[in-house]
Amino acid sequence: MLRFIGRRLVTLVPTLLAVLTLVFVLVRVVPGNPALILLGDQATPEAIARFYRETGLDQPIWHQYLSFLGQIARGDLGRSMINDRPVTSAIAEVLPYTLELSIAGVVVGVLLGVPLGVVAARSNGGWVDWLVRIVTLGGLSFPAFVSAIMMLLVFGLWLGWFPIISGGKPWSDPGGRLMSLALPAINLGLVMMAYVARVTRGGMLNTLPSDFIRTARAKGVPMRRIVWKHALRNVLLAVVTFTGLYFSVLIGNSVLTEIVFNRPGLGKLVVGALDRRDYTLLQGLVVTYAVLVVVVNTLTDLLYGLVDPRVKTG
Amino acid sequence: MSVLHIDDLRTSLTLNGRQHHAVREVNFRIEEGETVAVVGESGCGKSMLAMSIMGLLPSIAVVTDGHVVLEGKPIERESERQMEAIRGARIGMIFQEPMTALNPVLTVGEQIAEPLRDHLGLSRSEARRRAIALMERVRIPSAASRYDSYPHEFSGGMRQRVVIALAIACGPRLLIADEPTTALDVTVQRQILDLLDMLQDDGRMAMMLITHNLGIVAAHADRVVVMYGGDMVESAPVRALFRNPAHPYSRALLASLPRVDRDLSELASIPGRVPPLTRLPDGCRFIDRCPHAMKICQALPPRVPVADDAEHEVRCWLHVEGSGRDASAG
Ligand SMILES: Nc1ncnc2c1ncn2[C@@H]1O[C@H](COP(=O)(O)OP(=O)(O)OP(=O)(O)O)[C@@H](O)[C@H]1O
Ligand code: SF4
Ligand SMILES: [Mg+2]
Repeated sequence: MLRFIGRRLVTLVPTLLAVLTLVFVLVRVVPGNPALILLGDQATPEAIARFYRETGLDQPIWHQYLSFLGQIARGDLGRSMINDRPVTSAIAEVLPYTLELSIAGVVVGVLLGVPLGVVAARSNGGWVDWLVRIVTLGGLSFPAFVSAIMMLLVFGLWLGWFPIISGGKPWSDPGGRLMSLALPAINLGLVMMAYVARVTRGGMLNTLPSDFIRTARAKGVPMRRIVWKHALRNVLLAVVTFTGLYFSVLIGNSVLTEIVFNRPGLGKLVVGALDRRDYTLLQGLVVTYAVLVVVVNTLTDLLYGLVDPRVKTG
Repeated sequence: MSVLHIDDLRTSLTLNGRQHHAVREVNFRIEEGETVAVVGESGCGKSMLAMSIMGLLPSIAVVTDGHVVLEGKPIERESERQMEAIRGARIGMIFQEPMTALNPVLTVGEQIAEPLRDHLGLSRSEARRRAIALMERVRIPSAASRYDSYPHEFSGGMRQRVVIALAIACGPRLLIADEPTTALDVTVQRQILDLLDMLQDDGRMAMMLITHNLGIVAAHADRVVVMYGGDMVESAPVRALFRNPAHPYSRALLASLPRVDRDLSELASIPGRVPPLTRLPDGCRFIDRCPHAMKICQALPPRVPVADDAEHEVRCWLHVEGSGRDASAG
């Protein structure tokens, strides 16, 4: 297992390098001259030249590339073009909020989605199946920001169960922090729940007629354990794969959630950076997202190796 | 007292809203230590019969009549609880396809230990000890160290040994083997069959052996049940059947075998195939392929028993009223 992890971590390096290169190229081929955008189209040639010098954009492209990589290797993403703050610290400050929200969203999605999918498959075509279908269809087609606003209204304002402004609470007050996390996480997790329920239902319907399920029944294993252990263990492989793929979508979705719930996080930072054309901050954010996605994919692979015994020996 | 008594069992399948009998009027017994082979072409209802006994029929199938009597007591198949208590404890079953018969994400040891814990209430460590002993008993080399292996680390023959180990774990009185060696190559086939013989002798276990292979019947069975289109058409001791097959279908089976070990999935001496369930004739189900078909065969299914001794039963109009099976030969 350790060797498997080691191998997987080594392959992480070229993937990361490729992703960073892509970010580097993308940022440079985006139409629009950053100098003109930032300084305004009335900027003097001297001001533009100074801008280019300060940002290193006057250097040859390979030079820019190497110093870009070098900076990242040192954990330096440059300084904000608006307020000169180090991008790394701006991101580091809010990253935990986004991570905590995304992870909580995944937990909600999986913990609700898997059982829903299982009971739907068990009832296959029965009323429970239909009920789950309606719920998941709702989860998929209802715009997340609408459900967010409704949840805020109902549970935040009218019932007063949850704080309306989330985030801000320190972890030294775990109850308060979790309460402020609950609504955004549920909102974020509902869509994922719908997908996970579908993946699980389909997987169960494929797995239950398997020969090995028949073997388990022939040795007298109670149906409940056949479903929740023998079949579900196999279906979890698909759920893990899906969760890994979906995590990057989820980090993206968290932007909307953060804004509606007025939570600190990468989402608000992105909107601010876009709004003020903060070129370096934006680049830093893209790098952060890219690294997150690569790391999550690696974690997924490792997890897959844990749940599927056929993987690690290879 | 017979270990198993199949008493007029009928199983029907609902296809397009209509019921069709996949198993009809099957009557036989298996005694302690005895092996009864069930033979017949593909689609004759052999697996349906086995699954009716196990209570593991697909949802479209249901036993409509008759009884499965286990050690003198009819099984209450309506009670899923009772069926769970019987399966794996008093009846074990092994299947045709060893490559897919084991759960790929559970260790083989865990899969063998599970019925020991369920049925015998053993502790985890006790079940582990017993499971390793079982693995040794089915001749899995270095059993203790392979307890924690996964099925994909085993060959087909070894997987079938694992399936056998978990089927006999709780010392069942009856073992149902549905084509246990069809998917294996010839040398492994022989090893597995010899293993089954040995295990059976140890425990005086009764065995119902479903097979396509008359060579296996000759070498390993005491009696044979021949099925056609869901009907039991003949039942006899192995030697009697091979020497003196009474039913035209049994004769065809034997005639199609210049060599006894050939497979009978294709019946050479009689053209045609087993008709699908939806097109089974009302009378004798073999009528379309029978060289001796008479008027009465069309009207009514022949009844049993019609034979001169109780050991040798045949369901065919040719043998009614002592017309004698020799008269019809030819
Ligand atoms: N799930 C099912 N749906 C529809 N028909 C079925 C189903 N299972 C079995 N049958 C039909 O029931 C009949 C008996 O099938 P069964 O599987 O018992 O045959 P078998 O004698 O075991 O054949 P084989 O030697 O190929 O295993 C066949 O006509 C088959 O087509
Ligand atoms: S009953 Fe008639 S059709 Fe059927 S096997 Fe006998 S002779 Fe042939
Ligand atoms: Mg079969």
